[in-house]
Amino acid sequence: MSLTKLIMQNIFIKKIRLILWLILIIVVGFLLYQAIAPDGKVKYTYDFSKSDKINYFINKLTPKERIKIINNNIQAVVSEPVYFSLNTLRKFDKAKITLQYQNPDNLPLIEMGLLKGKTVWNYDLKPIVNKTLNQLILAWPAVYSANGEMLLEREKKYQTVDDFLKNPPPINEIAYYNYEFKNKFFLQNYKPTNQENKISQQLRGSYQFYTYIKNENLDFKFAFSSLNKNKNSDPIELNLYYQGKLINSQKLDDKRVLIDDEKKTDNGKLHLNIGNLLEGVYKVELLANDDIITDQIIFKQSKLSFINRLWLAEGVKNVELKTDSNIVNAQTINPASLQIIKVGDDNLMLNKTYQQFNIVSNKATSSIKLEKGDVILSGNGVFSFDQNSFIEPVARKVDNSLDVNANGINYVIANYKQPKEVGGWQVAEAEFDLTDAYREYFTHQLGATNKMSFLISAPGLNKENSPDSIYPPQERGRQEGEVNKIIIGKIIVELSGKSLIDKIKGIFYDKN
Amino acid sequence: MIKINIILKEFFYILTGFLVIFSFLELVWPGIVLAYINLNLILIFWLIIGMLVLLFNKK
Repeated sequence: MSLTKLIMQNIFIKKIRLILWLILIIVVGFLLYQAIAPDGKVKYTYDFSKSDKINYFINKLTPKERIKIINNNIQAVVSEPVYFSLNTLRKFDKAKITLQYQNPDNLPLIEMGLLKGKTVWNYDLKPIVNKTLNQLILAWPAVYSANGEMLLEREKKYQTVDDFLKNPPPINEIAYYNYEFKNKFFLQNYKPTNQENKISQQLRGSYQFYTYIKNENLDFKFAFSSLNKNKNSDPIELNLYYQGKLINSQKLDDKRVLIDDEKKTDNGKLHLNIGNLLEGVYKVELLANDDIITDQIIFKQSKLSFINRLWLAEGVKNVELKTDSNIVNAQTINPASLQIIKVGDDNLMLNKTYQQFNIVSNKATSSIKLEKGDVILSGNGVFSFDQNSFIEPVARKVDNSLDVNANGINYVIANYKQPKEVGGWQVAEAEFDLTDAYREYFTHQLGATNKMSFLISAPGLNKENSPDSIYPPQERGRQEGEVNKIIIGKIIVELSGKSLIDKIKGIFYDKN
Repeated sequence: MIKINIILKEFFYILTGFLVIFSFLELVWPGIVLAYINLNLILIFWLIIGMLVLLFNKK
């Protein structure tokens, strides 16, 4: 080979090498740019009509038993809730999620939620569609605040949302939705008794309750045991809130050494005794997993109502509760607990395990009578073991079971935007604060790759379509075996957080 | 023929570079590569080109 040819060949090799390594640098640069997102913004889309396409950021809807694939790969949700996870390569503070969907069965309530904690699987729910509100918007005059809050009035009384908040009507005339309504609730003629009361019915897992304080100490003694059905540790956290703010917290660590024989063991006691509290309603929250049994609660307050949900443990017999919930849901995982529950004058048949049964009542208050325990009771109101201790200090939530006329609701305050219709699809937006989201991280990573979990919920959407379901299948235009569904078109996630410049500034200026 | 061999060799080197750098990136920052690129495909290309380089060298 001549010298010229050899030189030419060397130049050729160098050119090729340069081009290829440049491509490598560009690709690596692109990947780093996408991961760092220097402007603090990123957008991911999942088109559900292309179900075979793998999307790293937004995962498929699960569990697959609740998803039905219909024509052209379209995914329909036939039972609720369904979950999807969002993987991000760095931390973001806010997420705006746009859901493109169809609601052919006109389901009254669809919500999307972000997982905030795994102890009690609490989700921060945001509206997708609320049929009750959609109807009220058409029928009642509305005023809007600068922040987008909406006040609906049966008869026009308030000119602005601020007027309403400064001088609110009685609490039993107000309903709220996706809004933290902070009202000052006072019981007229309330006198502290200082008498010791006791709840001896065993309760399983987490619960929350309201109590009322006036010139007295908040005094609650809890005794716990553990069923040891799972091998995880069973920590207990007791939180006290006043007007939405955490004012006291106590923790009880799991004392047991690993036990395999599923024997019930004593898990200790907690005593909440706080003085010098302002008059008003306090919320007590117990966070524990389903292994924990509260054997008894001894307290000196005369008002105590459990909020939304409580799990009566196995062994509880012939118990009567009072509720103001419009809908009473009952569920059990124990075949021995199947029974007929009396709700007012009606019967709620609990005849299958692992399935939720419900009954709708439009009475102001109803009594619930159970023969056996190990039943999870839930609803949109409060539950109390004693007629005299019943207290309902908050406004009602506008959900699928609220009847505004039957419940005497005259005002609705909400943070809600109706979904838009675009090309035959409904398009709704939900915004989430991700700062306190529950995240799963990879171990031993230098990056901040993390995974968050979301759910799509439509209360009552169940492919079983049990006779007790509040949404019986519509007859018109239905084929045999067809079930209620929500068709999901697209999920678009727009994330925003600190930009690279903000992060660098934070390193140099925030550390004092 | 020589040119093809040279190009294949260069491709082999660069794909080795891709694999090493991507594997390292994926180890320290999970998902950074896999979110956009299927490493299996790169590995298959790398193997095919490696075999072709050996074939051309033999000839």
